[in-house]
Amino acid sequence: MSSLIEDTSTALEALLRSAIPTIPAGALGVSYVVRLPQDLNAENLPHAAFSGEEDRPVPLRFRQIRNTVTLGVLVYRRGSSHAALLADYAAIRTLFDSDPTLGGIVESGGLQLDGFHEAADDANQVLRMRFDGVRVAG
Amino acid sequence: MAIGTITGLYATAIAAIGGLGASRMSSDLARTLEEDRDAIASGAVKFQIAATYLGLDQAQDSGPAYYVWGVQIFVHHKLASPANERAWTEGASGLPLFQSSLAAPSFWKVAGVFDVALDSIDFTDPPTREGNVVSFSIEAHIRTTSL
Repeated sequence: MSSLIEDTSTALEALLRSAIPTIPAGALGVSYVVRLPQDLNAENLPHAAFSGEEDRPVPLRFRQIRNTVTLGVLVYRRGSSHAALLADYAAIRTLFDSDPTLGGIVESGGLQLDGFHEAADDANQVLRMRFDGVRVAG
Repeated sequence: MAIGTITGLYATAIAAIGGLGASRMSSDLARTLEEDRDAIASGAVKFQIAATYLGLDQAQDSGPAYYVWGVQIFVHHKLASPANERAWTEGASGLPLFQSSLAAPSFWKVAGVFDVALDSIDFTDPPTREGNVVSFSIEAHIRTTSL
């Protein structure tokens, strides 16, 4: 049986790949560790990464557990425009809003934009988001 | 054959609620997360029963005396489809069945043995939801013919 954080990561990865079809397949395109933008090769881009996973279980009556998970979601581009990052976010937002439960993996979920960031060399751009989701188990 | 005592009242009420499809929890008195010993299976209904002696009811000096008990029933249901809560809260075999059954004086009355004190059936706790479990409670004042 997989954990909520694992299910959520898998669903978000599928959502990101659907929103940005040019993300390279497999591990080339998605990391589960934070990468420095300049450490990514051209074959990795555009790239998605997950960071800062949190899983906070709270016991409820009748041996139930309410799990709240949080994941940082990042999209990396290089030599891209602000408009392209906005388009990435719009595509992700549209897909997410069509089903905030991620196919029923969470009972309620929220995706918030944490900002567009440019690396110090100005060549790399990062779109930073945060996902929060809740599921009751037990 | 019902017996007009609190023991008989428990047995009769437990059998009647069981007839609605509910099973009894291992503790009648657990009310909090820390006290809970039971999980509830998805789709199942469980209940707790607790009675408090309220006093003697002797309406007329020449009439028979009755012993009055406050019987509180706590009903808990684990939603089979948490995303579709209304399937149970408005379903014919769900919450309305338990509410209407327990609110009916005929549910509690056994002729010559148990009777319901007038206007004594109250929903003490309205339906609430915690996680995937919907709970409510009802209290009825029941007269028995002996202790």
